Amino acid sequence: MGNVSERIDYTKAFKLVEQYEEYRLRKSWGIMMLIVGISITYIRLIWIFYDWLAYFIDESFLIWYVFVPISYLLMFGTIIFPLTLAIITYFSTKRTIIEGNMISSKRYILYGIALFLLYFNSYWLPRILLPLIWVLFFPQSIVTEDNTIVFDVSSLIQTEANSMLWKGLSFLISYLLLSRIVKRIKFKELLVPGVILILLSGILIILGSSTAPPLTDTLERQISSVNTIIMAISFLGSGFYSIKKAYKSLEGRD
Amino acid sequence: MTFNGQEKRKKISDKTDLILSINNLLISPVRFPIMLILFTHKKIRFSELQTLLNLSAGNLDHHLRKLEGAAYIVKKRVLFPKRSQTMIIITELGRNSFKEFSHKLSNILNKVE
Repeated sequence: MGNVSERIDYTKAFKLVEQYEEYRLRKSWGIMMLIVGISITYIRLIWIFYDWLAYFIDESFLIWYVFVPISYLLMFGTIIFPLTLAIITYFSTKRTIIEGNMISSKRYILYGIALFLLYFNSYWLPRILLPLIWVLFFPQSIVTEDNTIVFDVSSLIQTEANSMLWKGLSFLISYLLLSRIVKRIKFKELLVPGVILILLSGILIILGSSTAPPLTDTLERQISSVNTIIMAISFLGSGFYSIKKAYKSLEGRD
Repeated sequence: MTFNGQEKRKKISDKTDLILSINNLLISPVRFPIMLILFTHKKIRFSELQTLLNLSAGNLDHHLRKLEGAAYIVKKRVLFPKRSQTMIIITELGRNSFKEFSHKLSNILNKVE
């Protein structure tokens, strides 16, 4: 007769597989959030501080070694970058399903979709598509000054508010999609920034619709910088939290 | 009566054969989860496995050596920028043996039922 402590606990063994899969999902999600967060923040900061950089660094150097690579990233990155991330993570995470005597596995398709939406909605939709739509429906927001086309004050604030609102919605959509994959995990790291971003966008919309102050370059840069900082905190904070929770899952402390 | 007795003895003998034919190496509370994880995920890092099973490095290594001795797994050193990590990978023989083991186990359970 085998010792009681030497008996195989099959339920526990399957629980360990579940724990390991949870760890892999959370870790790869966290790493991808950090990659997406860093890349979007980098692109935004270069756009915001381009003229400052041009003041300190030789402009031809800046164009060839900073601006051109970023343009390529903008062109190819729109679809390929988030898609690659989504595919990599799709293949690196899977879920084991036990039905009767059969052990099978399933890939997290919703995971890839969530990551793609988060990236696309967080940058490209608010920065490029929505302003285009805005201009199409509200042409009066374009003011021409000395042959230069500029947006009026409220529409610029609206653009930033839109950007924040879409980011917030993306976080919430990702939260809903990921919560459907693993029902036990509560993705608070997506829910909290989602709600905060939506609330902040609401405040910004109210400010934008009130009496518009004269918008200087500095003020415009400040608004964009604050938006970038909030976005960076949301992505990086969420990424680090997800990785921390991954290790807790692995230790079985979650 | 004799026929019934013979049939009973044959049934018991069948069960005993089945139990005896089971892979002893896998009847272990540590090696079974290791093989199950490797069967479902093909490979895992040593450090991850150690945290998951809550074992000391020496204890885990002892079990891994047994599995490696039977050619069920292979250990591979993977170099990362700052450190190296040991990757545990299941072999084809390991996969087949685990599959066979699970199959026999399921047969026994069905016969018990």
